[in-house]
Amino acid sequence: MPKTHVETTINGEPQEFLCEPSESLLAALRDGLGLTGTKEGCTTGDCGACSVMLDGRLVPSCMVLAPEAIGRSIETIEGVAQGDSLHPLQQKFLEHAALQCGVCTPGFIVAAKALLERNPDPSEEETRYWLAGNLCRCTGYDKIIRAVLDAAAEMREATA
Amino acid sequence: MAQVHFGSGLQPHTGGVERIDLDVPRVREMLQELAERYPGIEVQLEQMAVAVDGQIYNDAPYQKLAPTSEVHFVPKIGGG
Amino acid sequence: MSERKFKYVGTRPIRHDGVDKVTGRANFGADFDAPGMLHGALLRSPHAHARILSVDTRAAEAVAGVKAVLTGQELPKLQSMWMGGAEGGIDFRDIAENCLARDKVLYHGHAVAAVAATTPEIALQAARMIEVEYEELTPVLDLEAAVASDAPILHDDLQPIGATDPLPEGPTNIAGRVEFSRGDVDAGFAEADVVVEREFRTQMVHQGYIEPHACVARIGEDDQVVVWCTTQGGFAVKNYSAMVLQMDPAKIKVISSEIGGGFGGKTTIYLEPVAIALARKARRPVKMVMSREEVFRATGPTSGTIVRAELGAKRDGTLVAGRLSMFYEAGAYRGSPAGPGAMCAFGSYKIPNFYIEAHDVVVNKPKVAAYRAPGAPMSTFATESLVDELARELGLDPIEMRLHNAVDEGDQAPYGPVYGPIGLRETLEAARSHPHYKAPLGQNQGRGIACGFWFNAGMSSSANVSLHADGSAVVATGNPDIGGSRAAQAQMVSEELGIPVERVRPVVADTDSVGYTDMTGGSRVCFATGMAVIQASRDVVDQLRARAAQIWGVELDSVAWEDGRALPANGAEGDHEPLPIEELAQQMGRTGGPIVGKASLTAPMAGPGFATHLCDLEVDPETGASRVVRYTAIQDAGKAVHPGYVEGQYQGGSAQGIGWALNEEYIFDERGEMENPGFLDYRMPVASDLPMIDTVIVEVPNPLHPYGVRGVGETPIVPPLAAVANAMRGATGVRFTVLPMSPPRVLEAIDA
Repeated sequence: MPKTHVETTINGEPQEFLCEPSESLLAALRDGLGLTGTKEGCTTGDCGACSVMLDGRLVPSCMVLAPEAIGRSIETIEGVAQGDSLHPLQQKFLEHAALQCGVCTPGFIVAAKALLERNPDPSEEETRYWLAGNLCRCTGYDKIIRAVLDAAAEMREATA
Repeated sequence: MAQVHFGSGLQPHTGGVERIDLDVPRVREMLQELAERYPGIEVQLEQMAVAVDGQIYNDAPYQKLAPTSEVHFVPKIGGG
Repeated sequence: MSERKFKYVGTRPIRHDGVDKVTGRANFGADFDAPGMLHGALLRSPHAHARILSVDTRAAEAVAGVKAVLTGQELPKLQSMWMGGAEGGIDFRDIAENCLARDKVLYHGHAVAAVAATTPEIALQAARMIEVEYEELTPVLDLEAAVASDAPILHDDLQPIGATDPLPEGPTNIAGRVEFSRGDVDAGFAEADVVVEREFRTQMVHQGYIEPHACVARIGEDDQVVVWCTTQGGFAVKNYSAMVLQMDPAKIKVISSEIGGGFGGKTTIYLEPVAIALARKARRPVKMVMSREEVFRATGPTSGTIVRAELGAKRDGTLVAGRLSMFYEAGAYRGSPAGPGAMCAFGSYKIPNFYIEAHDVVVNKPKVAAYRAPGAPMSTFATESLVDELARELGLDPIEMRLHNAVDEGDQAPYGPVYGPIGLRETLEAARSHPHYKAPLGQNQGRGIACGFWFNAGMSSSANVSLHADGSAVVATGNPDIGGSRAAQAQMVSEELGIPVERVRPVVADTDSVGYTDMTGGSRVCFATGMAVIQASRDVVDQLRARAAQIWGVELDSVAWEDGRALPANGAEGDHEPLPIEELAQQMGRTGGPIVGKASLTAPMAGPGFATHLCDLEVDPETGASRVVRYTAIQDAGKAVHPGYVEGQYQGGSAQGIGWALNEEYIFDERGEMENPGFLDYRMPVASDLPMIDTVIVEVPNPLHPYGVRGVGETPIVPPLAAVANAMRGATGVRFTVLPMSPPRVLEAIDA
């Protein structure tokens, strides 16, 4: 089968690549484009480690076909920090020791960023339910939730 | 003399002896002495760690034994 | 030791590998590629128990893009040789045949053959074209079936190990047995005013690390092998792979990637020897990555268990007798954690008369691997449930009951030796005075308490600390960093050298670049490798003092080291200006050359770490669903080096234990196929399932470590099973003895 030519935007930059029509966006990002910050935990959409933004919507990239990215805009973990300047969520994850092994961390940060973009002042419960699609096996979530709530507070203060 | 204790799992190999006192300088000599007294026990002991005065060593033949030392054999522990 | 004032130890610096991990730059197992690389895939058994009659690889070899095909018959045939004891035991023949089955498949998903091809899709497609002829055998799927006298036998040559007197006659599935006893058990029970007796059951559960196993193997022109992989121990991968392939281990270099969780599950090998063998055949690098389904079906979960337990107490709550008969599933090959399960079961209490026996039983399920405090959660589930029942029957407060019987320094552990300084009593007292314990409970809520402990393995570690010309330092060890150990090691270097944590660069070295180091596991890294780091740092300090003595023209003992500076001492005070580390480092070249501190050691096993957990559970009587609404984990850390990551261990272990108690289990069909090999159906806790997990760090210094450190990683998973079950008892009035307490089971029990 001929390969599919994909023209898309990734982290604000135009990108093009060839892929199998059946290839997942996750595989295209990792294997084709070397964007390995997006992690594979299950390929069934259950763990959230491969979370990316597709046209502003949070999706597990393992459940998206790479050709679906044609003409659309993708944001991955690699696009979250601005140059050397970490996003407040990234900073708060570090300060709160909200990662242990760190393999789920990119997915959590992408997902939490999506939450704060639509709700800058989430409750603990709202945060827990929003992040229920992201599995972490190391932390018991406590420090992750605290980091997200703290980042939200700091971002609100910065824009107030 | 070092007091050497045998748990119930080892006692079939010691003829039911629960404890003996041995005048041995190190773990290695203790193991040699035990193998002589209780032929076959060395196969069991190879699989076990040695606790000397509460400190557990997985493999320490040259660990010194004091005249007052208490020795137990325990399964080797690794962990997750 | 307790008077020592720490400057860096006990603080919460940002971990050095943190920025790479929050930006996606950190490289985990599957993130490596090698030029010219092939992709490997495995064919796995569709039967739980079958003899392999023939393997025909011709169709697979003919597929375009296939570069190598490998069967179990092509690996060296090893002789069985059992090494080590309890759950630390290893038989390299079993490890080899678990990597690729040779004559028999022993569980559904057992790897049978492997293919390397130009793409993962071709490799998988070709693997499925390998034709295997099987003679199906009856699978042995539970413990009772396995020990039945007419049970089908997994291994004809299995010789039971341990306290088996008399030996079972003929072939058996009982691979081993341990026993511990004290006093006169029958007399003890006769003396008891109350005796409780129950049978407890748990199912296989998985560590559930988010990162699947992955590796890349490359063979150099000189036959040197390089393996990049995700593992808890690079040296284990090197030595185990060499044994399986009958190679010289010196020919294998292992570069550990970042590791996306392990919890014991990455202490053994599955893919690496296969990747090496494929790479040798194809003369190209080979990458292998497991799918989540493969991780569930074919890596090592921990044992399902049956624990028959009996405990007796006097009216005042004094425990007088206990009896345990335990059976642990080993999976396909011997080596369940029955031994440590037996050692820990009564470890928290003074019980004058007890008898414990524990059996290691092979069944047609995946071979178990270590999982956080291997064996202890299941046996502790039984004993802590019974202690709770006794407290109820006697009308005693469950904490007072435990304090009344708690072990102290000088008490004899159930496995023989006496305890050194331990902190069980302190954790119980902290629980008693914690606001959680006094908080009112709502409707349909119950509160549970449970204690537990785990050893800290000592074992071998090496560390190098080298100084840069600017006075900053690099500390290299051989332990992959699973949960912040780099930060803790840097803190220890800072403490000794007197330089800020940011001026220390902690590095996970490959197996050619640092001395032998045992695995990241057994709660040993901060304790044993930490000891090596401290010794290596002190070696650096001694060298710095010698350089200062040289510069000042004084004897070594006239130089003290304080806060990152050499100071004149011993009568030389005032004669010289202090020499800061930056200046000494700058002059290294002319005062004797670069400064590298080294230490290698074998640490004894650290004193056990005890914990007490409090759990409030709310049960919905309509659906049987339950929810932990409040949880507090209290544990003796000896000395917390980085309290943030110590708390993280308490919280993470608690969450895993809660999942084990409430939802997680391997479900097999009657043919032995796992029915829930994915995260949707193997239900691990998600953020919305849990409350904040409160922690209290108790510090009773460990005399074996210069700072008093105890390992903290494993103990946190020991109490939760019983803490949750005891809370369930409070909420529903029902004593649950079978895990998980999933909604259908709870509903059935409360409706009964």
